[in-house]
Amino acid sequence: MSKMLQKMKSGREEINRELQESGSLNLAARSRETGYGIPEGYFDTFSQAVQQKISAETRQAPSLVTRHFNLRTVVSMAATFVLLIGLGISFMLLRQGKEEGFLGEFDDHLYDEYFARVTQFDRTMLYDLIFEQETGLPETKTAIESDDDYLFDYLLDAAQYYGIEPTELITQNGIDNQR
Amino acid sequence: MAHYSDDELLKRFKESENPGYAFDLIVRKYQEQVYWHIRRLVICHEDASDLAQDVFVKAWKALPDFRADSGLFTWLYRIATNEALSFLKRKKMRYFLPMVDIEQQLSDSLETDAYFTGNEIEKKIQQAILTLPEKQRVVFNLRYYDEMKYEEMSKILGTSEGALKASYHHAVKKIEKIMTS
Repeated sequence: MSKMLQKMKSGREEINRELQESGSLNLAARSRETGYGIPEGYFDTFSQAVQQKISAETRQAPSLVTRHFNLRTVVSMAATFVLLIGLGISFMLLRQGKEEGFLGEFDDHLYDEYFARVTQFDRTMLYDLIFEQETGLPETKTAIESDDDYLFDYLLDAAQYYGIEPTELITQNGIDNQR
Repeated sequence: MAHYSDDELLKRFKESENPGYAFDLIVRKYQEQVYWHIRRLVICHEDASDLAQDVFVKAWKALPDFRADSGLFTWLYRIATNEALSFLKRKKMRYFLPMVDIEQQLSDSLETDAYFTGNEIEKKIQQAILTLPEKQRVVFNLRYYDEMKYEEMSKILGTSEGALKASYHHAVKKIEKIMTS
C-alpha cells in the first residue's frame, strides 16, 4: 500500500474513532459520498476555464490613463462624494438625537471603517459592512440561528475570553468528556 | 502529470520565464479539493464552479507577492473558504433573506439540482449539514469530508484547535440527532 493511501486510511480511522467515542455511530459508519455530481470531464477543462477568465480580466483591465479619465469613474466619484456628505449629515443627526433602532447600533468603529474604505467604495463593500455590523448585533433577535447554536458560539467566545480550554465544553451524555 | 511539491511549484512560478505553466500545474493539483470544498458550502454546481475559478484568478494575481508564510494548500483553502462564505453573505444581503431561508433554499435546491445524484440517506445527511451555522458547516466539512487535521484547519480558519474540536463535536451531535430522528 502506498504511503499516501496509508496516511489517508489512518486519518479516516482517527476520525471514525473520534465519531464513535462521541456516540455518532451513524456518521462513523457512512462512506464519505456526498451525492453531488459534476458534468462529465469537468476537471479536464477546469484549468482552461481559469486561464480564459484570467485572460478576460487582463483584457478588461483599463490602462492607468483611461482609469484616471474614465467618465464613469468621475461620475462614480461625484456620486460617492454626494453620498458621503449625505451619510455624514445623517450620522450626525442620528448621533445627536440619541437614536433608536438598527441605525442606532452603528458605532464609532463603523464610521472609521466606513470612511477608511470609502475611497474604494462599491456596493459589495457596503453590503459587507452592513452585514458585519448586523452580525455584531445579538443574532437571536431574528432567531437567525437556533438558540443552541447561538448559545454555543457565546460559550466559545466566553471560554476564549476567560482562558478556558474550549474542549471543556464537550460533554458526552452530560458527562465531562475530558480525560 | 508529474507530482511536484508546493515548494517546487512556487519556485517554478517565481523563477520560470513561463509562470503560466507552473500556475497551470498548481490549478491542476488543487482544482478538485478547492471545488469540492466550495461545492459543499454553496451546493449549486454552477455557483461552485464560478467561485472555484475566482479562487484561482485571485491566486494568480496574488501569487507574485505570496511569501509562503502559510503553505500553498492552506492559502488556497483560506481563499476558497472566504469566497464561499462571502458569496453566501452577499446572497443574503442582496435578497434580504434571513439566514434560515437561505439554508432552506440551499436545502431545497438539492431536490431540483440536476447534478445531485445521491440516494435518500446522502440527501438526508446533506440536509442535516445545511441546518448548521456556516462556521460549523465549514468545520464539519473540513474534518469529515476532507479529513483534515485540526492543526491544519486552525491555520486555515484562524481559530484555536480547541474551539474547532468543540465546534465539530457540536456539529456531529446535531447531525446525528437529525439522522436518528
